Formats: sequence, structure tokens, C-alpha cells
Amino acid sequence: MKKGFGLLLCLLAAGGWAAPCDMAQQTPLRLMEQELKRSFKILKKQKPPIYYLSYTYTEGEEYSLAVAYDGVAVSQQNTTSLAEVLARAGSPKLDNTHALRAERENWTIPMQQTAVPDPSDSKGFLSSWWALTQRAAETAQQDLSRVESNVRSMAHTRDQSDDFVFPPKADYCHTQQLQPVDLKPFEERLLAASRLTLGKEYVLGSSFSITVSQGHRYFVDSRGTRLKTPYAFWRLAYQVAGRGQDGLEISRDGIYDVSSAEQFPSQERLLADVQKSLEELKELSQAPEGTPYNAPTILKGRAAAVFVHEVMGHRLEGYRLKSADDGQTLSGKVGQQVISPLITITADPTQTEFKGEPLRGHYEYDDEGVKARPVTLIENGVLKNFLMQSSPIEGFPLSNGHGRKQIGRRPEARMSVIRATASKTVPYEELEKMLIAEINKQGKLYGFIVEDLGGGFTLTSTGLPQSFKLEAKRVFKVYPDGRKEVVRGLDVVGTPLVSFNKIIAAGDDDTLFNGSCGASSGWVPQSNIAPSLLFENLEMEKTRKNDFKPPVLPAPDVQGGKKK
Amino acid sequence: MNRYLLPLCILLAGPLTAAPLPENVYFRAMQDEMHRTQKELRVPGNPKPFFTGYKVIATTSQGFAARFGVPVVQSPTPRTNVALQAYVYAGTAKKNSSGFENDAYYYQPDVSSMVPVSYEGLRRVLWRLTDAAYVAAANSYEKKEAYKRRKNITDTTPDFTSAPKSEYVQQIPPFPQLDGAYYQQLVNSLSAMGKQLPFLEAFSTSVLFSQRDLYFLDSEGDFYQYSVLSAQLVLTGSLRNRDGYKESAVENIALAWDQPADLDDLQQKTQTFLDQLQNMYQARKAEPYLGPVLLEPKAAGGFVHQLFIRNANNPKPLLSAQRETDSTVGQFKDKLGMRVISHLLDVYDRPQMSHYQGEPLRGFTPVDDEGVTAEELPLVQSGKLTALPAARSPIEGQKRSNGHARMSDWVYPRAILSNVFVEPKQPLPQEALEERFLDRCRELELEYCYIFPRFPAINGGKGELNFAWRVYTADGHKEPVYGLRLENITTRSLRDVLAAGQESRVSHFTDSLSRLPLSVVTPALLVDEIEILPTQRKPERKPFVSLP
Repeated sequence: MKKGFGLLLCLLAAGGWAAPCDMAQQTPLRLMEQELKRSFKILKKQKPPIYYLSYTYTEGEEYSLAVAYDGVAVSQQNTTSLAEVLARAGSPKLDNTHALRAERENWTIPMQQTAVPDPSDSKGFLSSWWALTQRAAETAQQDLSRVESNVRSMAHTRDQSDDFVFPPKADYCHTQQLQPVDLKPFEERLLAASRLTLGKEYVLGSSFSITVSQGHRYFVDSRGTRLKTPYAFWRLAYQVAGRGQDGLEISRDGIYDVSSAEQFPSQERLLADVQKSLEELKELSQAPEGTPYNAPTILKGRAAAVFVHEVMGHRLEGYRLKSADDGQTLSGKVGQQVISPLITITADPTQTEFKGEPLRGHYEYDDEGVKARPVTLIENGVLKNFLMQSSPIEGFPLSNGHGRKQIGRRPEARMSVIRATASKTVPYEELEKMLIAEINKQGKLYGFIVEDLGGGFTLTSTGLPQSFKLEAKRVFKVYPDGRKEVVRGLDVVGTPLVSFNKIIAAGDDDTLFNGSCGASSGWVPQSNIAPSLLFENLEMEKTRKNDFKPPVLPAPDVQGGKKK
Repeated sequence: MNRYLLPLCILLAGPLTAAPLPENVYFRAMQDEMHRTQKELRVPGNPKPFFTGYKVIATTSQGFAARFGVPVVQSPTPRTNVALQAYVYAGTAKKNSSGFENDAYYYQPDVSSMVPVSYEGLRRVLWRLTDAAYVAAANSYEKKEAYKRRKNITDTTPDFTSAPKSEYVQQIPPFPQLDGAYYQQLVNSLSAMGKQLPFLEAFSTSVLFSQRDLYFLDSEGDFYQYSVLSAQLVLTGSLRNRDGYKESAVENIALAWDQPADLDDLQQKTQTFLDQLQNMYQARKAEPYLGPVLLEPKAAGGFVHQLFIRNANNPKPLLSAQRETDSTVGQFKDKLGMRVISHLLDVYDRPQMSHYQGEPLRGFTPVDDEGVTAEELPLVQSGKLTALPAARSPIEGQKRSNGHARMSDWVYPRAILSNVFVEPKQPLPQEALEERFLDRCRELELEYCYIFPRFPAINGGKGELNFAWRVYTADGHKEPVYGLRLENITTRSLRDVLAAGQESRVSHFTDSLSRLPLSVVTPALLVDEIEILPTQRKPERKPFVSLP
């Protein structure tokens, strides 16, 4: 009794209302299953056979509102009704999804997808699936011929695991009442925030937006799996940007991920945050340019979360170990110490929130219909596991529910809710003291505190060094006497194994960074949580600059152009 | 005395606008940023901005779609997007950056979409665009001068001619409140008609209402403001014909903007389209053919677009340090006074015309994008080329602009036609035209000839047409044919027009270079010789699984 009550509370707290979900009443699932069974019966007898077939149907709604400089730029809403078909031709041992060598075509081979009519009329709905299935089957057979030829002619890859392992059959239905969305009340709030950017000579561009995406995903496959799961992403975001006379671009931003409109920040908090970002942008615009240096460094909360994601997270995606083109940094290292023994890294898509904030990386079943589950990837520095989809790698024959993708792409093992924890933590203030002590110990002129890491890249291809270069969007030089100075124009660079072994301490300030990550299976929402991390040293180098100066004239609202 | 002359000239050159600028946030922002640009935008050592043009395109649209009777992806509310285009010519009227293809930049205006609609937002975006356009123009100016020195180009013709002040103002109507339920029901019911043909793999209908509000201002004070309204029903069908070839067809049907659609009429047109899909399904494959072809009005429109308009556009080549020749220039550039089309035809461009027989013309351009009032052009008289579209950059034989400089996101203002009318000197009634066609076929001792309902895009003299009618000379009966590969189609065919019909129809096209809309109004045309070969496309395999 007590347990039941607790479950109800959790569902309410997660946002929308959980509605009864009777599998028999789910028309899309019923029709999809009907057409899939009818098609698969014939397709599995073709030569080569289609040995596995899955249908995914995404039914939802999208809202977006974007403003800048006291004006609305975008205000729109759409419904989504998209069908996707994945056909696998050949056999689990070798199928059409096998990575080709010396060919680039299959890097982003799309899944067959199309907009479909409402399932209320079965004829229109079913004929769309029929046409899409035909296309998917034809393409799969054609791709398989190419794969077979490629396998015969090209050098063998080290990992000879099968291309596919059948996902376990699942039957799950979760309906969530979609929340009514009215962005009109937020228009004035965003406009008021946008007005804060006017008259600031250091602001070259700005944007303020709210996006809402909510609906349900239906999945059926030829193994008999039937799933219906909800999704809901609500986000308020802003960015203010500038550019120095030397072409160096700077920016500050704010992102609020919530589960419902009521959870968006209050207007007072939003305005205060924007004001703070503007002050930071101004400070950056006047800051001296940093110079390349190798020194003790703290990556603070959000920066540490981005660092874990970019530098180690991608290398834990299992499919990479099958690609001959991938650097496979962690290949053959299971059971070995690969990073600092202080650190444990887990992935847990079943987690719904962190400190009251929803996790974008949460889901119940992955895009291959496999139930999500927590995985310990690295424990006290020792490699234990990989993020797995339904494509085995040596030593890891099964999916752990991380096959993910953007609509229109094929699933690959991707991150979900990635969390780095430390076996020993100290309060952040203590971590800064340790940094200063380390600077002095090493006799360095200064060290760094990186508050925010932005875009960048992690190279994982064998043709390039296994390195990373991440833009330090807000970084302080910290002198041996504890004095701090903001500098601009630095990137954090290095190689993964070296840098992760340089972690010598961690804070107790676990911080969440929600984002979307782009790779060959497209953009997927994910979450990263990490404490502040102290590195014995990290290398900084110069950021790439824009070729263009800021505009010749100041912004019109700065100069005092005619008012309306 | 001379001391007074200069101020007087400046006054005369100033904004002696007959009508005031329309009062709205777009013109307020454009005027204020334009003023600042002309007065203050300078980089020491670089040429000044000489001529600047701004255009706002505010597009509002709402659509409804259905497939086989049920709704597909809906946008329940109208959607608006405001885009800005800006261009700057640096230098002077005599020598400026225009007409030079800079290898570091495309020959395109600076563009921004999803612009925030507020005075401050518009000013901010105009400021950024103008700055980028000026930097590009100053760079182009220097490179153009260096190129001219290298090529010893000493022509003293000014780069940019003067033009009288122009303005055009039309009230901008609000986007209509559409009865969404009615239009959704309309597309549902029309698309449900597709269920009668079991071989159709897809059949969809959509209604799209689109209103493009255009606002233009240049640094000489020329301006325009008007709306382009478009409402249309689009029918789309796809099938695999009896030989296994995948075929598809699209039909655009103009709807009245301000009146409810006539359901009976639309059902009849949908049925006609379905009949055509039935014919496509039953069609037989084309065989080699050389002989007369009767182009129905829509096909004649395509023929004129592909062979005449494309060759009359862009008569002034861009200078380029990378290429000796400008491949975008039409072949008719040097053919003024020569016969380019059958002597039976006159051809006009009428940019000021907004409608023809109640249907909107997509090339409507009252004032062009260099601030010049667009003029009607007698392009061809009795088959001879008598005029070409011109912008303010003069060309041989046309020293002033005739208001045809059109700009898009993909190209700075260039001389492009808008609404082209083909007018036969001796139009024949439909029956007489068909009789003339069959007589010519018999004269050539052909078993059959062709009627084209559409004309394909021609590239390198070739084009693929997926449907035509074969007409037998013996008894005049018709058979549907698919897979026609047109060969050796050149401007020669324009001179092979033997006769033309009486009833003109409007066809709409998009210019392949600028992607600007244009319309062609033409009757049916009888062309003496077109070469046809069977398509080299291969049929598709039969579907693994039958239709549900």
C-alpha cells in the first residue's frame, strides 16, 4: 500500500499525468504489428532474407518561441507523425549494417522514414508503412551485397563479433497525458530578458528561446516486442555573444530543462541570470588573451561534466570498437586501470532527475526496444563495461539498452545519463586551496580554473591523433597567491588516457549539464553529471579566431539611433 | 555663383519623394539604418558604400494536408517568418563593386531569416548584414579593379546608371483567418478520392495559403511595399506502372484567396488528375520518334521557359578572376535584332501585371530591386529579338535599366524576366490547330505524332518526360505513353513553331539560377520537329508484399 502511494507521487512529480495504458487500445501499435507481421512473413523468405524488421512511430507535438532585441523571431507549433522502418538483411552474423571499410557511404546511412497520416484511418496509415517497408527492404538487400563484397575484398577487422543480437521480447505500455502548452505568457518574459541586451556595445548577437517537444513513441519488431513510451522535453535557453577586435568570439549562455511550464525559472531569476551572463560577457570582452601553458587546473562542475562526456564518454561507446577506423582507445583494457583510481563513471538512463532537475538523458526503452538499465562503465579507474546496443563486441554479447538515435538515423550505442563520481571528495573551497598548493608545489607561474567548457572536438579516428580540444568559455588564471584573473581565447587540449590519469582530487559539488550530443546516429538528448575535478596539470592552447573584425559601426541601439 | 550650384544639385538629388514612406516598423528601421550606413559606414582606405538596398520578406503561411483521406502533419496556426536581404555596392557610379564575382564571396546578398520583429531587432540585423555586405563590397571593388587592369579593360561605360525615383505602395492586408476545420475536411475528402485507384502507392492533397509581404528601400530613396498572395491546391500521386517503372505526378490548382473553394469544381479537377494517373499506369513505353509535337499550353509554357527565358536572362556577364566566361549568361545576349523564335510569334514581358484571367502572376514586379519602375518589354516582334531585360548596369544596345533587376537569397540583383506573354500573330482555334497538327504528321507520312501536356527541364539538350499522348494520324485516336527522352533540344526548336492556339493559359516556374518565381502565359504551340528516344531508366522490381 505504502509502496503504491510512493510510485504515484513519483509519476506526478515527473510532469505529465500518467494515464491508463491498455495495450489492446493502442491503435498505432495494433496497425503497425499487423502490417509488420504481414510483411515479415514474406520478407523473411526473400533472397537474401530480411531476418529482422522493426517499426517506430513517433507521434507528438513541437512548440518553439524565439525572441531577440524585444522582437519575436519564431512562434510556431507543429504536430509530428513520423514512421521509421529498420530492415536487416542477411543474418545476425553479417548483415547490411556492417561497417564498410574504405567506403564512406555507411557513415550516416539513414533509416527509411516518412510522415504518415493519422492512424484513425487504417488504409492511409497501413499503406504508408507498406511503402516504407518496401523501400527499407530493397535498400537493406542492396546494402548487404555491398557489405558482402566489401568483407571479401578488404582487410579483416580485429573484432569479428556478429552484427546483431536479437533484443529480448518486451511488452510495455506507458501513456502520459500531454500537457497543454501555451507559450504566449512566456513571450513577454523572454522579451523583457532580451531588452537587457540593448545598449550593450559588447553584445554582438543574442537569442532567447523556449522549445517544447512531447509525445509518444511506438515500437514493434519481428520478435514480437510492443512498446509505447512517452517523451517530454521543455527547455528555456538564452545566449549572448560578442567578438573582439582580434576576431576572438566569446559567449555566455543559460539553459533550463524542466518537465512543465511551471518549473521554468521565475522572471526575477531569469533576469538576474541574464544580467550575470551579460556582466561575464563584458568582463570577457575586456579580458587579456591567454597564452598556451601546462599547469594545475580545476574543471569546475559543468566544465567537468562536459569534459567527462567529450573526452571519455565517447570512447565508451561500444560500437566504436568494431570500426577499424576508430582509435579504440579502450580496446582490450577491460579489467585494467585506465583512468585515475579516484573516479567511477556510470550510465543510468533510468534516472529521471538530479537535484530536482529533469534528466534529458532518461528513457525507459532504447531505440532498439531494449529496456534501459544502469551500467558501471569504469569503477575506481578500472574499465568494466561499454555502452552497448544490439550489436555485440568481443566480450560483450548483449545490449545494455543504449542503442539510440535521432529520427531518420540508425541506432548506435550512445550516452544516456553519464555520471562521474569520486571515491573521495572535498568541499569546493578546499579544492581551490589544493589547486594553489599544487601550483606552488610545481613552481608554476599560475594555474587555471575552467568554469565553462563549450564546443570542441574529440578525435577518435585512427587517421588522427587521439586528442581533444575543448573551448574554455570562461577560464581564470589563478596565481600562487590565490589571485584570479579572467582570460579569454584558450582551449583545453590533451589526450584522454593521460589527462584522466592526472585527476588528483574532486569536489563534493556534483553538477548536472543537460545537452544534446551529435554523432553519426544523429542528435540525442543526454545528461552529464560530475563534481569539480582537480588535475595535476592540463594543457591550454589558443582558440581559433574569426577572420572578421566586429562591425565597423557600433550597434544602432548603442549609438542611440532613432527610437521607434 | 558656383558656390550655390553645388548645394542646389545636392538638394535635387535628395529625397524628393512624391509619396512618403509607408509608416511601419520595417521602413522605420530600414530608413534609419540606411541613413547611418550612407553617412557613417566607412573604413579608411576602402571605397565608400555607394548604393545600398534592403529588402524585408515577411512570409505567413498555413497549410493543410491529407493522404488517402486522413490528415498528415498539421500546423494548426499560421506560421510567419521574416527575412532580410541587404546588398551594398562600394565605389562610385562610374566604378563600383557590382558585377564582379569575388572568389571569397558568392554573388549573393547578405541574408538573415527568422528576424526578430521589433524596431531594435530589425536595426540590429540590418546593421550586421550591412556591415558584412560592405566588407564584401570593398573587397570586390579592389579585386575588380585589379582584374580590369590585368585584362586591360579600359571601357569607360559607368558601372551603374542613374534612374528616376520609383515607388510603389500597396496596403498590406492581414493574413486571413482560415477556417481550419473546413480546409482540413476539404483535403481529407479530396485525398480520399485516391482510394478508387488500387495501384496508387501514395496520393496526397494539400492546400497552402501563403502571403509574402515585400518591403524594399534603397539608398536613393526608392521603395516598394506590396503583398504576393498565393492559395493553391496541390495534388500528388505516385505509382508503379504496368512495366514496373515508378512514376509520379503533381498538379497545382490555383484557389481564390478571398473566397471559399468550390468543392464541386475541385472534385472535378481531382478526378481529372486521377484519370491522368490511370493513364500513366496504363501507358506504353516510348519508341524512337522524330517529328511534330503539339505542346498543350502548360507544355508550351515549359518550352518557352526552358528555351527562351533562360537564354534571355542575365545578358550582362559577371566579371570573374576565376573564369573567363560566365556560364549563367543567356545565349541571346548578342542576338538583338536577330530572329530567335518563329516569325508567327511576338513575346512580351509584363512585370507590372499582377493577374491574368483572375489568376495571380508570380513574376509581378512593380519596382525592381535596384529601385527602378519595371517596364513592359517587347522582347520579340515577328520572331526577332527586340529587347532584353536590363538592370542599372548597362549592356550593349541598352544603356539604361528597364526595371528588371531582381534579387533573391541566391543572387544580387540581375536582369531577369518576370511575366512572359507569348502572343501569336495568327492564333488558331483548338480544332483548327489539331487539324493543322495532324495534317503536318500526314504530310511527313508518320503513323503517329505526340501531344505533350508538360515539357521537361532541359539540360545539355536532353530532358526526361514521363507522360505524353500518342495521336494516330489514321483516325486521331490517342494512347498514353511514358518514358520519353527528349534529345537535341536547342533554341533551334523555338524557330520551328508552325502554329499557335487561341486560348492562353498561365504556367508558373522558378528561375533555376536565382530561384525567383516567374510566370508564362502562352497558348498551345505546334513545334515542327522534336526528337524522342525511349528512356534509359530501368524499371523497379515488383513489391515484395502486395498493398495492404
